[in-house]
Amino acid sequence: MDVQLKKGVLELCVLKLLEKRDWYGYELVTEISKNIVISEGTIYPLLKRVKDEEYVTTYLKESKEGPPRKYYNLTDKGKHMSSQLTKEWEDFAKNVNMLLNSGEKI
Amino acid sequence: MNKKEFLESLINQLKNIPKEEVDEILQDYRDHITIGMENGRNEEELIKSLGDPKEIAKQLNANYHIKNAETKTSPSNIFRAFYATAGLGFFNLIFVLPLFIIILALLFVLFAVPLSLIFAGIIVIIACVGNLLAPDYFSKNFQLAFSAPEAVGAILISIGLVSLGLLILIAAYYASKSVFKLVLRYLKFNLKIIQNKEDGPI
Repeated sequence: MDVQLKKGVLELCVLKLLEKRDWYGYELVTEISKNIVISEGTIYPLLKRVKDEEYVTTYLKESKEGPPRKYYNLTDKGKHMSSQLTKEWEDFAKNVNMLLNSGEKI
Repeated sequence: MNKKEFLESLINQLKNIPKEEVDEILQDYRDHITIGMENGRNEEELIKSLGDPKEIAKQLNANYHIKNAETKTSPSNIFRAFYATAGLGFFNLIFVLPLFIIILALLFVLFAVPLSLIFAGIIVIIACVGNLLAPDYFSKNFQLAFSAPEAVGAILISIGLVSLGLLILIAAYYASKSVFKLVLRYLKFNLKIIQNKEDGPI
């Protein structure tokens, strides 16, 4: 799949996961990596950007082992952006599918 | 590359980002590596899957400079944001840079014209008022001598010029603000589309 196309939806994937519950960075990376091949390091600049945009807030939570985890929590602004991006993605996917299927009819 | 080399390379590539932000960024990567190792992954493999620190730094630089230009909008901050985003390699610097410089030059002219009008108007007003109040002094020192009606006429015209200058200045201010906003929007748009110029995993 085209790299740039994948990159564009990475933000959507992160916001979508955060709609379900709060995650910490490493968890998010592992979850997304299950479905999409990513350079794991690129998720952190993205998380920083969505934090600057106030789509998420962060808080620290102690862990049984190792360092305290930095959890990301979706804000109302983030929820709004998530549904907007979802709609954009669905429209886009629908149009591409229509184009792909139109070949048979022409 | 080991953890230390990865973090050092990242620090070296982060340009003009305040120390607290750099520390927070580094902490994220340190934690990531620590948590990964707790989960039984080895350091080298973890570092490798993080990707090239240079590419990560480019994104962080672009993020930071765009954010900075949004809060403190000035031509130099916009230029930094522009430069940092160009580093991501999405748009072609050779094509976009001249366009950007032309926009900046036009904005410069947009400010220079009203400022010259205002400046010239004020000088003329001072000269004419001085001439009216102390005609002897002025004719002696500046070889200037207006009749009173001439001076009053010149003052009126100058007031007109200054007002015109002020109006253009206000228009220029709003025009430049929206131009900067557009430029930043364009830069942010690039940030969303592209995370890494290399073909390979994102």
